[in-house]
Amino acid sequence: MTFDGGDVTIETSGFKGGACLKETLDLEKALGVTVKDRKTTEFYEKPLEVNRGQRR
Amino acid sequence: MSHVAEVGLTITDLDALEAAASRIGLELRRGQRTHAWWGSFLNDWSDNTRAAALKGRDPKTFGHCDHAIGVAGATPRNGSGGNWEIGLVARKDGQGFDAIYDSYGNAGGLTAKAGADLRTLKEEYGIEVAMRRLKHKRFNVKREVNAAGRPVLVATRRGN
Repeated sequence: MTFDGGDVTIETSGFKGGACLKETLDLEKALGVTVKDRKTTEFYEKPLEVNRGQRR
Repeated sequence: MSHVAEVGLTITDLDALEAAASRIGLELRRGQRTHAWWGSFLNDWSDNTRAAALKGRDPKTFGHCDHAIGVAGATPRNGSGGNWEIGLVARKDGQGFDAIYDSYGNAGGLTAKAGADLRTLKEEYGIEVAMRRLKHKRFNVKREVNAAGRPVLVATRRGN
């Protein structure tokens, strides 16, 4: 995340599918600003399959 | 002079604001219901992007607030040469506070600490909010400075 006065830019990597958007929107809400986000190529990849049977 | 500005900053986390302010030599004065400024509205500013009076704020309310921020250790005083303060005013929608202050000249000494247009304070507040949120979500967070001199937070998932 880069801060420039009231502007915030977020660069993400390692997230699959829309997971990075969820994290970005959460931060945007907390910061009270519109984040200038920059998606990575991973945005267009499928999210990892989650074995829900392991959830408690 | 009375250049009372409403800046593009919505405060929703007073604890984060307090921590951010203290890093740059300011202090949050919780519950202080007035903030120092020029002291009277002279209607001498017509910047419709910043002037609080042109953004729907009633000039009669200038100087009144719910909390205040001032330079640490400085005694607030209205008028020329005084130590002015930022007023935090509860938003009508209940979503936190707006920051209002008199930006004339060096804003009564605030500019040196908070930056022009409260830029430094806005940055530090954003950094503090983001750090708290990311740590809560179990990220490791490291503060750096980029080549342009801007602050950067690098967050990595714990366990990566």
